[in-house]
Amino acid sequence: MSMIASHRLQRLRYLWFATATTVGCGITTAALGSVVERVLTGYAGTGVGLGPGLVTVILLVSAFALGRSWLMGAAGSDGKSVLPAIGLAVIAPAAGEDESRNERPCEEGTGACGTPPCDQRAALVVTELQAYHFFTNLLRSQTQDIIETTEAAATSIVTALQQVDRAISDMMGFLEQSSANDRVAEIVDRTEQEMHLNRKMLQEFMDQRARDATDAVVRQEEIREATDHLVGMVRHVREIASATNMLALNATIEAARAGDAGRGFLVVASEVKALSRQSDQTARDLHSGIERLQATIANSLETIIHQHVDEESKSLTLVTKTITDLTDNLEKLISHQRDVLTKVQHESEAIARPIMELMGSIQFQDITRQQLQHLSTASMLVDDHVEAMCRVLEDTSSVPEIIPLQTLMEDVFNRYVMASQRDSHREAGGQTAMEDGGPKIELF
Amino acid sequence: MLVDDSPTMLMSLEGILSKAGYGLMKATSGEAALETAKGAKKIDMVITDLYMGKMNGIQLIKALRQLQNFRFAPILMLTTESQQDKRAEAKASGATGWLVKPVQPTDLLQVVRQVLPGT
Repeated sequence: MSMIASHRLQRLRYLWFATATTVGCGITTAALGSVVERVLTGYAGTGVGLGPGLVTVILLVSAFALGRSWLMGAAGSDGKSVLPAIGLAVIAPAAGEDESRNERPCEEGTGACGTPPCDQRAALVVTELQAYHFFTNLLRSQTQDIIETTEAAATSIVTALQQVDRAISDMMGFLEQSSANDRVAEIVDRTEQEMHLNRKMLQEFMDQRARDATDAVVRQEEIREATDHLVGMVRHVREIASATNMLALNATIEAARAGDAGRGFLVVASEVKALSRQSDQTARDLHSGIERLQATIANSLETIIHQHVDEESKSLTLVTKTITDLTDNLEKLISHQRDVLTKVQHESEAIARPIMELMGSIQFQDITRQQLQHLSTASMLVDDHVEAMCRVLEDTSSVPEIIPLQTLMEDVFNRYVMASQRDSHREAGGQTAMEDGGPKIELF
Repeated sequence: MLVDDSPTMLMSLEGILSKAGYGLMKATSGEAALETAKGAKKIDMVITDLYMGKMNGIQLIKALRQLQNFRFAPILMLTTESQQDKRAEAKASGATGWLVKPVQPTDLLQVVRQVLPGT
């Protein structure tokens, strides 16, 4: 383009020179012509929003107009003068927008249009935009990482929950088996029966010992009675002996009175006396013997009986107490186990609810995944848009069509799968949230 | 039968429903679900996601309703979507109900008991 412009300018110069020669103001026109040329060259590169052809036309028309007016001596009413042409060339760049400036193709390296700032700016922007791909790839790979990590975490949570659940079921099963069973009740019953038997045996044993002790005492009494009886008899004998003695004495006295006739009587009387004395002595010996025996028996019996009964009584009492303690402990144990079972049942029911709820909470991972995938898709669309903008800057022959980001974002909106995404999108765009999807659970 | 392309969703639903005593089959796409449905002896109920790969949930429901065994079986949609027009479309295709993710375990079990009496 710039080549054509410069050619046109060249021809214009010749034309002007021709005109100048015709009018005779050669130097002035040449000077004017070179000024115009420089000005136009300076501004043409920054663009006018019109085609380069149009600039050339303006130059040509202005040249012809000037020539004609000079030839005819008056400014043509339908002509354009140089000044307006210059003015147009000056004003137009200022009126041009940033957008149109970017759209105007730049050719690198030529002197005509591509002055350094235009070139470098486009190249810089293109380079930077292409670097955007890295950012997009990074976003995509990292959102994928998040999806995978949260999925793995959800899986491990579920596995752990299932283990807890299984452990509790096992424990419950074991407890129910080992306590609610008749086995335990059976054991308790049997133990109590044995205990009862033991106590009965002990009691009988103790009664027997007591009876034995009583018997011993009774026997002792009997012995004492018997010996007392004996002693009574002995006393009786002594009384008799004493009475007999008295009688003998009396007889002796009577015999003395009787004289010779009583001599035989005396002999008998003295024999009787001797006899009674003997009985008395024997009786006395017997008496002391019996007393000694009584004492001996009494002592030994008492000692034996009381000693043993005391000891046995003590140990028997101890054994009974131990058995009673054991039974009490067993009952306490069983009662405690029943308490534990009840408590574990309550606890496992209490845990079952949070476990169930946690199973439900895992669903958030799915929602997060969907949101992240949309984020990834949106970033890819932006990436494509950036690519398109690069092409716009790079393409030197025409201005390519690009799909505006606005349109792309509408496409993103239509792909959403949940109300919250749409509301967020609206709010980000400055609108108000308006989703009202309806009930969370609906049966048709 | 549970149909969802998200393994996490399948884990969650399996955890909730198996604990309540239900037997389960799983499929990760509409096509796989259809194959399973054709070959299965007895499936009492289907819970399916909406947005899944090539065949979405509504297309799946339409296809299932063509099968002899699934003319009247309860089929529930379980999805993040909540828009009225999608619900209407599902209803027209033969869905029994619509549940929005995430669904509380107690709510899910209640709905299942409602549409599957006698379990």
